[in-house]
Amino acid sequence: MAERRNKFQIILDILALIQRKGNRIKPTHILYGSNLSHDRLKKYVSELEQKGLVEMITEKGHNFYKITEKGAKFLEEAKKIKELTDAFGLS
Amino acid sequence: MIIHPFGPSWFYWVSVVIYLISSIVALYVGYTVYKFYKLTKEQTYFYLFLAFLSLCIDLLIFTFVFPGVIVYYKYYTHIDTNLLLPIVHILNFTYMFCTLMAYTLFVFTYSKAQRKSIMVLLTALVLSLVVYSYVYINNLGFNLICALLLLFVSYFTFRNYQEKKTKNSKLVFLTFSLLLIAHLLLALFFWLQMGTIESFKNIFLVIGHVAQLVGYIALLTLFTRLKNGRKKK
Repeated sequence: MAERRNKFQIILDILALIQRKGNRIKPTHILYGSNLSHDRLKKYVSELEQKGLVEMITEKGHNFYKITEKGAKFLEEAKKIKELTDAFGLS
Repeated sequence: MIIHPFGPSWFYWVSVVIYLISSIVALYVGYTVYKFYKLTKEQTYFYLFLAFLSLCIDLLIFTFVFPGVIVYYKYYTHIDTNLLLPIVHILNFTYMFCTLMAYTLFVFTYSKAQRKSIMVLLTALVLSLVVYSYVYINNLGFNLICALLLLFVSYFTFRNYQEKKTKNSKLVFLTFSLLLIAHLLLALFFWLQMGTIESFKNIFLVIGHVAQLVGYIALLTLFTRLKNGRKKK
C-alpha cells in the first residue's frame, strides 16, 4: 500500500504532473494523474492559484493549468527538498 | 578542558582551521535546511536545522577559543587564570550541550518519534549527560557518548543507503560515520592520555580531526550537489 502523502508532497506531485505534460494540462487530467478526490484536488489547485504557483489559461475554448515562473522556481526547490529527504532517509 | 589545548603545539592552528571550515559548512547546511523548513513547514527539517545550528555553535567555540588560549599563554600570562575560569566553564558547558543536543536531535529525527514526551525525555537525557561530562571534566566519557549517539544515526543512514543506493545517501552515511570515527579516535586519545602510553596518542587526535573534516566535506559535497541540481544516480 502506498505511503500517505503529506501536503507538501501532494503539491509537488501536482506541479510535477503539470510539468511532465508540457506545462499545459486540463483540470480533469490533473484529477486522473494526482490520485486525489475531486474536492481535495479543487482545494489544492485553488491554493496553488492563490499562491501564484499555477495559473489558468484558456485556449480554443478549453481551460488549461500551467505553472507560473514562481511555480517553476518552487518546483525546483521542492525537488531539491525531495532529494534531501531521500538522501537523509527522512521520508 | 578548554583552557589547555590538546595535542602537539604544531597542530593547534591546524585544528583551528579544521574547526573553522567545519563550522562554516554546518552553518551553510543549517541555513539551507532552514529554507527548506520555511517552504515545507515540516518539523523534521526544523529539528535538522537546530541540530546543524548547534553543531555550528560548538565548532565556533573551538575556532575562537583555541587561538584565544594560545594568545593568552604567549602574551598575557600576567592575567590570573582564576579570572578566566568562569568564562572557560561557560564555554565548555555550551560546547558539550550544543554537541550532545545536535546528535540527540539527529537521533530524534531518525527515530520518527513525534510525541512531545519523548522529546522532553531526550532533552533531559542530554542535560544529564552534559552535566555529568562537565562536572567530572570527562572528555573520554563525553566523546564516547557522542560516538554512541552517532552510532544510531550512522546505522539509520547506512540502512537508507542500502535501500536507495544513491550517491547522496552514500554521502550522508559517510558524513555521520566519519563523525563517529572522529569521536572514537578522540575518546582513544583521551583514554591514552590518562595512562602512560604517551608516545603515539597524538596520532589519534590528528586522525580524529581529519576524519571530522572529511565528514564535513562530504556533507558540503552533498549540499553542493543539491544546489546544483545534479541528477542522482
